[in-house]
Amino acid sequence: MYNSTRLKYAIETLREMNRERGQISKQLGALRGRCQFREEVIDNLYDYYDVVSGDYYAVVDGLVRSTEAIEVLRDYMRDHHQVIEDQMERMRVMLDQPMKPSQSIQKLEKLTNFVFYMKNNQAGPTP
Amino acid sequence: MSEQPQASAPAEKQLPVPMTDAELRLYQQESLLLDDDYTTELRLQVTYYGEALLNRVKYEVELLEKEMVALSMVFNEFLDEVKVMDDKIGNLSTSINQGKLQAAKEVDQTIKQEVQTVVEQLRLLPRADLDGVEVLYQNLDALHDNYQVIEEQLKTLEEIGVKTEHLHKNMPALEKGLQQFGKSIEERQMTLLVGEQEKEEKVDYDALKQELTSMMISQRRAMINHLRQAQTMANPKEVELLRRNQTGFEKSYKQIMQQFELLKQSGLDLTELENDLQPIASGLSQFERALASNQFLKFTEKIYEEIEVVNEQIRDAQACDNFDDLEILRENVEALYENCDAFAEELEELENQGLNINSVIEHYEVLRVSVEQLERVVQDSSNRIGITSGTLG
Repeated sequence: MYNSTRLKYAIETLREMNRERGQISKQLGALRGRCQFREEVIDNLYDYYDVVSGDYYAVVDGLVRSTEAIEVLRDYMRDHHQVIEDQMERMRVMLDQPMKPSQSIQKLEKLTNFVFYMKNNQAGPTP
Repeated sequence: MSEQPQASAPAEKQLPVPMTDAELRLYQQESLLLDDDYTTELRLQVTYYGEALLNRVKYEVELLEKEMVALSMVFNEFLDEVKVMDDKIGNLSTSINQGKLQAAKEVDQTIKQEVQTVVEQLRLLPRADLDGVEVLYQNLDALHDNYQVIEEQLKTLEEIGVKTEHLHKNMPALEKGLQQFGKSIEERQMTLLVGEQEKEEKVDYDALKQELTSMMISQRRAMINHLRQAQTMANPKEVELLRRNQTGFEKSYKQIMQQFELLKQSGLDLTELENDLQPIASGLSQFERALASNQFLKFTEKIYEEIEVVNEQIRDAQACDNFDDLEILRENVEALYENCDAFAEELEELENQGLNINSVIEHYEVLRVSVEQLERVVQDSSNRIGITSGTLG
């Protein structure tokens, strides 16, 4: 005589394991999304760093002679300096928010706008 | 007249001449030396703001990179957990399927054993005295209890998703056997109490003939079901079970023949019995032909071959550690989905021919689920390779 209780228990366990497996898959997907988003943000920051450091060294090393040109560069650096802390905080809030993979492009665009171009008029993330 | 110097051809496009390092250094020094106070002040401001910006961005990048490493570690832990879990799920699924098959087989055997027990009890009946009749009544009660247990087991099998149609087909034979047994005990008890010795001898052969007749009827019905299963059964794993049933039928046929020979000595008219024997004998010889003409079986065998391929691909995907192989695996997933669609079309064709495809669909579903599982494993591997190689894509 077969043991139906054991079989029923095994089926229930399998169902439970499949449910758990599904949850882990979701978590894996979410983690992957977070990693990908961070990687793209890092790329963005590297680009920004390249632009600023290029201008910085051009001025500091004397490659730029024109006073007007240096004024323009000083002005944009000052503007960015005034808002960078605030923008980085906004970026951090955005990074810490849960995010669906489908939203990543849209969010990255927004983030590029306010991190790279330091545009204050862009709507920041809602915490 | 002095010779005019030859005019040089006008340069169509003068490309800027790049500075040498020394020239560049000189240019920079000159720039800084030529600065007036205002320009120097401007340069200092650029230094201040620029450094602040660069340091702030550098700090954020370092922080994000550390976060990436931490997230990757968590990801890999999850991935390991998924692998362990997939193995467990695979093993448990196999055990459950085997368990279901085993359970169905055991219940089937139990029903046949019970029928056999009833037949043996009926055989004992003509020789039973009054005490013996009492024992047989007790046995009848036990057989009734077993019948209820079997019914409960069939219900449970249905609850856990095992098909029980073929098991139910044997139940009427058992039920009828029990009724016959009850009636025969009563008759025997009556005979013993009335005490007609002369009549008893005559009833002995008649009972034997009766018993043989009912046994042949149940065998004939079971044989029809057996052949129908051989023609329509869709699970290749059940072929073995059918072959075992076939062996059981052959044994029963031998027993029937032995009893038939015994009855011949009694001088009774056995023409009717002889006619009834014919379908059983021809049924036995038709089994292999019925199996060979089973379209569903051929179809599910193809499905199981495909499932084997998918399982192999799952193992490959779990072991995959580079993007090239992963690309091939992705192409294979697509090809396997196309094969699934081809199977579905073939199934539709069978249905259009008026065949009942319900028994095949569950195997097709297993294939479909396996391909979906493969797709998931390939995706997990893609995540894993992406994370470990630092290339998420």
